Amino acid sequence: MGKIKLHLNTILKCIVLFSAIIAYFGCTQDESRRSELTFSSIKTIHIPPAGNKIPAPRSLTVGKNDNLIVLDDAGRILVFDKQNKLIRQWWMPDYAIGRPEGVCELRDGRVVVTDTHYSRVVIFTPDGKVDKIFGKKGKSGGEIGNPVGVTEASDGTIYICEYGLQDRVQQLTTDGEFIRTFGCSGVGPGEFQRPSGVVVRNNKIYVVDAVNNRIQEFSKQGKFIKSITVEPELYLPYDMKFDKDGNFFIIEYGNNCVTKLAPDGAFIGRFKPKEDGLKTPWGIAVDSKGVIYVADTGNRRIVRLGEEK
Amino acid sequence: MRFNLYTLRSMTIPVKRKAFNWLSTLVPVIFLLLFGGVYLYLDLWDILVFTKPLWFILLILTPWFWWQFEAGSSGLYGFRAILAQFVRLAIFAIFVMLLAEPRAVRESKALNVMYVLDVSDSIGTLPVNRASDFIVETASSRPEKDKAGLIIFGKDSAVEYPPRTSELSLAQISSRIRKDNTDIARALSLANAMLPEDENGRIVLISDGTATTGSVNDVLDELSAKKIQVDVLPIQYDFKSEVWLEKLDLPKRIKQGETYEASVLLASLAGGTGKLVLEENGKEIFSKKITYKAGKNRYTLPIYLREPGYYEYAARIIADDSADGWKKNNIAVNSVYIRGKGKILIVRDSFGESKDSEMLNKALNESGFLTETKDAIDFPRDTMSLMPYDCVIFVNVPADIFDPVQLRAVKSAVYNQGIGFLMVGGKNSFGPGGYNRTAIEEILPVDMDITNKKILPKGALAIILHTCEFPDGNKWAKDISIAALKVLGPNDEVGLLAYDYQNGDDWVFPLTPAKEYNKLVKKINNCSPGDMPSFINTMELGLKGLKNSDAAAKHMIIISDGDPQPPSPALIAKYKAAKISISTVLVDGYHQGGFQKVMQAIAKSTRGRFYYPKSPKQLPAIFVKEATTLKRSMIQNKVFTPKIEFNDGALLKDITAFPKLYGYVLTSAKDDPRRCRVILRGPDKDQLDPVLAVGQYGIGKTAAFTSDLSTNWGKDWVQWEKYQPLLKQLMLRISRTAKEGSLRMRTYNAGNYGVIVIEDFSPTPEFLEMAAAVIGPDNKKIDLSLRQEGLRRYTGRFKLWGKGRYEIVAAALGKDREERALGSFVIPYSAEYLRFRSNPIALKEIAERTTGTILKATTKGEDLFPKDRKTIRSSKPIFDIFLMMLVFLIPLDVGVRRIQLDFYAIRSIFSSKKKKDSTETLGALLQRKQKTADSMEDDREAKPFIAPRKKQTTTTVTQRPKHQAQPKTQDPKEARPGANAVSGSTAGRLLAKKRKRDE
Repeated sequence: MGKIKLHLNTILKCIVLFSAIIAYFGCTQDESRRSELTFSSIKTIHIPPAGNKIPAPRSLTVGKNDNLIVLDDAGRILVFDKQNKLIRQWWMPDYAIGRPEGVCELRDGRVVVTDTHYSRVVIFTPDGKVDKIFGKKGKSGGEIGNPVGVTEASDGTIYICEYGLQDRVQQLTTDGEFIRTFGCSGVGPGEFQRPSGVVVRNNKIYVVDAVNNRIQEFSKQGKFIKSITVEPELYLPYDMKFDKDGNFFIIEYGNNCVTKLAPDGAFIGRFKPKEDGLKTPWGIAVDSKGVIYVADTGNRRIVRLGEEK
Repeated sequence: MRFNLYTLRSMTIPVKRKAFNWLSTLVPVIFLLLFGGVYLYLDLWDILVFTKPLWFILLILTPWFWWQFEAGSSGLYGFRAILAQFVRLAIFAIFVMLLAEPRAVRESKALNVMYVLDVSDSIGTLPVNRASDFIVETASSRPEKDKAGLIIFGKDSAVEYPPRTSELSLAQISSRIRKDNTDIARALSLANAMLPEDENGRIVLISDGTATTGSVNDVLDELSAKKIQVDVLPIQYDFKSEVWLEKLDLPKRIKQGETYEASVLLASLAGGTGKLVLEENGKEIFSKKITYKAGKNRYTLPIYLREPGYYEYAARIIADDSADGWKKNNIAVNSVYIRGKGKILIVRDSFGESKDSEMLNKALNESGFLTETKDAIDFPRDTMSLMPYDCVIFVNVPADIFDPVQLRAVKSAVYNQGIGFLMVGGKNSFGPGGYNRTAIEEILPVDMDITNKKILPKGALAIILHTCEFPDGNKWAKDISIAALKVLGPNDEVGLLAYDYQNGDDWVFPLTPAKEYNKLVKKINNCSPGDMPSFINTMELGLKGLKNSDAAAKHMIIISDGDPQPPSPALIAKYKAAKISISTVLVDGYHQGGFQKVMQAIAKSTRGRFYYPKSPKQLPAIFVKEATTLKRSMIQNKVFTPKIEFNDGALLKDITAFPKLYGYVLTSAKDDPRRCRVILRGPDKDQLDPVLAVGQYGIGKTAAFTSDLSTNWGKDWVQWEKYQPLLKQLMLRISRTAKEGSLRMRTYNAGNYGVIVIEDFSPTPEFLEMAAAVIGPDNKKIDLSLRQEGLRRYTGRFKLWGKGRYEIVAAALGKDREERALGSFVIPYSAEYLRFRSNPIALKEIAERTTGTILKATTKGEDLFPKDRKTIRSSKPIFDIFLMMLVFLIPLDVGVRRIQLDFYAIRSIFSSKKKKDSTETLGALLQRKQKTADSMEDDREAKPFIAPRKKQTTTTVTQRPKHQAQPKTQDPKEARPGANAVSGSTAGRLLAKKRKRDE
């Protein structure tokens, strides 16, 4: 009995000591390290030169067959296949006074581009020919200010978000017919300051409200549902996409990082490497396998983040 | 103790205390084997190298270290003894390795390519653009770890990008270099310096090969020695037809009213026709159609000089485009000066009121002076053009109308030619006119800032920079910020706000007194404004800063393309409530006014001004103008009668009292009495506010009148009977006194040199000490001595340093003479424009000497960044790692030998058994000792003395002297009870024995 007691005591003391050591290291670990997103691979995709400059990517989207469609600040649309090889490129019809900032691919394969400084929307065929151009500058419904983000809804209509003349979201048909508009400039619920990204999921519209540092959720009729703010705070979020599990992936221009939120908006983690980090990134896209593409604008490259570990 | 050889030997090689055991030699043997193994591993796997391996000979001392331990009385045994020996030997080994200078070896296969691009004038824009495309195309296909960098060069070289793995984009070249010459050697030398020593390096030179300065020999030898190959991509051209003007000769002596001939020397590679034009002071006066042959052709053109003055002539040849490659070499320039009666030049603000200078002009004419009135925008840009004037007067004209070249011309004219200068006050003069830190402030007898104790309401200026969207935007941002900073007074505050990609919206520096000028300029030069998504954050920061400032006048300037999110009406209302005005400057690159309304609205709602300049060159003047709005407090709108501070005699002759003035501008008198004499002062009894001050600058005189001489502040003065006499006396006081000298200067360029020839026409020739100062392009100045080459002739030569104007001031000193002479000439185009053929042979030689290749425009990136490349080994010292090891081992060495852990006690913490006394603690030993002593005491009573066997303990405090032999077992007969009356303790007995031995 005495021997057993001896062993138990020793074992108990060892367990206490061991636990204390583990707890110490656990508690002193940096908060940010615990919430750091890591990926199985991090790869750079180079933007092809345009004359004597390397343009910077601005917006990107994943289309059919996981092709990556990229807008750059030279005024080009670049299409990469899923092996990240450039397969096609073409130019905007006009780009003298500004370059476009939003792109999405429709289910029929056409590519929609918000031509920001021309206050219009340009739709291209899959091989890069202009199919349709609509929109004129104005504040009324159907008129367009400076459009940025664009996305397709399940009913085949598109939502575009605008800044400049007014901060709002418009729903239009792909022929340019006006359906509805919602939002205005401001800081309150349902108001925006530079809405720069828009995504549709499960019949809800998510708008990236850049200068207000938040995401706002609306019904497909444009009725405000809720604001999603994050702790630690977002800083100038520019774009967001969902993965197949409903997680948010947000690109933060101000924080130079990718932020992941759970479907309920809870903060999961950030990708912000100390070395060779992102620099004023503008756009983000997620493909069917969960691979993330970041338009790393300040560094003039696209960063491919492999499956999350 | 006596010191002798025996002692020394005992200390160095002690005698063994215990029986020698061969097994104990295993320790040093194993250690040496381990050490050898580690060394071989580090060496064979190229992890470390030792630059002085001979120091490893010291390892022969290893046995000695081991013996010290073995024969010593450390008292250690078992594992502890072995560990102690190993630690000690390890310390010794590390010292030896440190002496051998260890270096960590690094291997790298990365390749660094420095592109070196010739952008000199001889290259032209199109080839530079094509070369840029080539660079970007080839660099973008390089492997990930390889680096590419770019140097651009002409006469100077600059690193545009150091070698880096990120993308090279050449949309905007930001480096500023002189392009009027080509120095390939300097560019290659810079490229060589940029390539790291520990990686592969390569240079790609893109040039036409026509170096106009420098020699490549030395740098090619160095590159060849370092095995850095230089590949060349030749830019080829070969003009078959080209026409240019070599010089324009004017007559040496000219009389007014006579007709003369100018002679033009035209050169051409082939015959052709064209039109020859002659301009006088910018206006065409003659032209004729000519036919020229290949080679040199001379033509004469008539000139007729009507009035005295300074005349600059420019001859031009206008040939067909097909006959002419370069246009820039189609001009030749020369000048002539006819001396006449000196004039007074009155300079007024083109946008101001003419009445500012009317009364002044009239009074001077009535005094017999010839005057000429010019608008500030027509002011000359060189000193020679000011030669016809005896005095220059600025009347209420702001500094931002002039550029620094014009103001420097005034300064040089005063200093070297003795021309007088007067600034007359008004709301655009002195400090409020933006003359802080300008050449004009230097020559005036007053400073623009208030340096005495007067407390002036200060201003605060916040600037928001969003300039990255237009070409060279960030460079302009720095220029305009510094321009605004210069204008502010020492106590005025200035702050800069921008978006930085790391810190977001933030102050580059918060509101800081402008007197910290140098520190602020550094911060301005180091900042890099990024793309700002919103005005809101920076405006909120600016509002907070300005509200917290105690400045009386608060202002903000925003420069942007207008794209950022505009401020809310609530934020604008806060600015209005805080009485902070905002001026906006729209520079929108290619947006073409798309965001004009935003910027206009911000300015309008806060009572600021909106600017939309057509060219970035207008920006500095805008910022100076905006900054000077803060200097309004220097304008004193008060009625006063000026008092005489110093009676100058001639200046105030017959004037004892003065009428009222209705305002003046605050300035500070300069401290040096030679530079400033205050004649009239302002109303303040405690402060010396100059109203009229005069001073000397160089050989010229200057004056400041801080009120005005018009019907505004000086309305009583213009009616005063002494108004005109005072002005006449003032002009006589400060104007140049005309004096015809005996020296005549002729100066011109001959090839790459400037030539100065001075002839002395004095009636009595004498030897003169003669020296000259040359001020040329980039405001560079050189001094040289002139040599006498004849009785009355002196010459000098200097190397030209680029195109532009060269002004020469010569000073001659004789026995009783001191004279000056002035001259100038212009190099209208750089020597680059006299190259009509590229030099591929020079490029080929560069490639051959460095085993490089001659590239083509179709060369691919894979050829410049081949997969096959050699591994470069490099090493760097790693003393720090070894020192860290010592830091760990030395305390371990002490600890192993000196610290005894009571494992029994430690075990007992985890044990539930009753603790037993350990025999290893000191306490336990002492107890045992006492017991033994007691038992021995009892024995001594019964038995004769027998020396107890010495027990080895670790707590021995005193050491037995080394020479002392083991205590022998004493003969009982020798024991004398009570003979050494000491205590029964072992120590006592030992002491007694020692004493006895010593006796």
